[in-house]
Amino acid sequence: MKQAKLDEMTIDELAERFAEIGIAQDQAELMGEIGKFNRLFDQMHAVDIELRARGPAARLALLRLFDYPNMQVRLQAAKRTLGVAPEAARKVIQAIYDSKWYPQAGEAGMSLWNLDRGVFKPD
Amino acid sequence: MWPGIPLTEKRGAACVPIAADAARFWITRLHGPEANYSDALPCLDAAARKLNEGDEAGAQQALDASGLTRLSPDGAVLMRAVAGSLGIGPLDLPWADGPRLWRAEVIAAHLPLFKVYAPAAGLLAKAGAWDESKHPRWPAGSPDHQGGRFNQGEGAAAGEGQPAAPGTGHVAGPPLGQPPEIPPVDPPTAQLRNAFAKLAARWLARAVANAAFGPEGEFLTALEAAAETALWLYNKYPLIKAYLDDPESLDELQNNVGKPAEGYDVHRIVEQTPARDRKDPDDLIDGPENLVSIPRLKHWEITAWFMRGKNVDFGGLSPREYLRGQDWDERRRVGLGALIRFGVLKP
Repeated sequence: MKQAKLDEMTIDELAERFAEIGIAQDQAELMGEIGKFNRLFDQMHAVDIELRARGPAARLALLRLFDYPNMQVRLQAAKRTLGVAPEAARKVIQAIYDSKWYPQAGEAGMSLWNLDRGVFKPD
Repeated sequence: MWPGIPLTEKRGAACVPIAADAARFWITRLHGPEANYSDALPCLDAAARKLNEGDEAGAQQALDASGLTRLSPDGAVLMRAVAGSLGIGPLDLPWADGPRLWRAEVIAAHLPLFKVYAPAAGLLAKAGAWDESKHPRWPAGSPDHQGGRFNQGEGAAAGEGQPAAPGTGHVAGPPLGQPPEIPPVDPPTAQLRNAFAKLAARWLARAVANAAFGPEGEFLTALEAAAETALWLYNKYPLIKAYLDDPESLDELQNNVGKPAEGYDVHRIVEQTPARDRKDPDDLIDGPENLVSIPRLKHWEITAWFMRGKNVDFGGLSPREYLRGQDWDERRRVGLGALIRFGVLKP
């Protein structure tokens, strides 16, 4: 099935697309498909750019993914909303780190550390 | 017996109780001299018979009938001391009222005796040395294929015989769910075999982190049994087991480099390919300060993190791309940071 263009999608559809990509990332990581994993990050980045282009309210649509059943989706949604919902997003990232749900817990821990030392500058 | 003392042993093909004196010694350490007058030894005989019949649930029931449900006052203190010494949790059992008779030096004198069982204790603790009174199992042959699974005890509603799927608890993470199904036939590709190893290791680690106390022990037992007959799983089992290691000190990880072991890889704290591209000296890249031995599946997770592009932490660069422009100290800092956050290195 042909994928709809991002700029033709509603905000809800973009959030859903973000979650689908996150799930596919999780699967690619499990299968050790690093190339595919990275291509999926390109796609996720494109969704994020589309949401940013529609303003802060559109970006907040990703907050609904904070309790998504898939941990990869939660983590990426939280990391990409730090600029618009810093407290809530950080709480989610901290919870993922504390959960020891690897490999996402490892990435979450690195993000917190990079935030604290000023390397990660959310926008 | 907690923390990992075998009360039965194999003699030929048969399972028999350990010598009565030895059994009495260990039982009275935790349950006091009154345990000498309990039904513990006959129950141990009965449990060994059940094990010979292949009836693990029956063996557990036989042990449960021994009536050893309370610690002695000295046994409670000893258990906490042993737990602290072995780095595991004590059992959540009540203890009897009464005077304490053992002084601190007597307790301390016991610790080396329990140390012998540290490997088994660690494995059982990781595997979830569950309290059967809280997690009684359905007996073998129960309807609806519940045999050996966990019964929620009296008062559980019909259809609730499955273990409660633990989530990430206080952080309300996704539910742990059931363990991955062990493939009944060899997965046809290395990719699939590795994927199963990752699934199994992560599920076990999450169960341990959730203090699920039960299902991981059952799954670990099933994995070990399957690994005895399936070569592919026999080969992957060390990876799964290594993944459950607790974080270690940098000295320990570095010292283990000289002791190759199944399931572990030598990992460079500062990644080698970018370092060689930058013409960093070989004696730094391959020097003992830069090498650690870590569980292979953790090595894969950390390497994948380094390679992952579009990472917002680094302005959209992969960690590897970001570090290309950094000096050795920053690359080492990030390398050590990753080992800590991925649960390999003690903070």
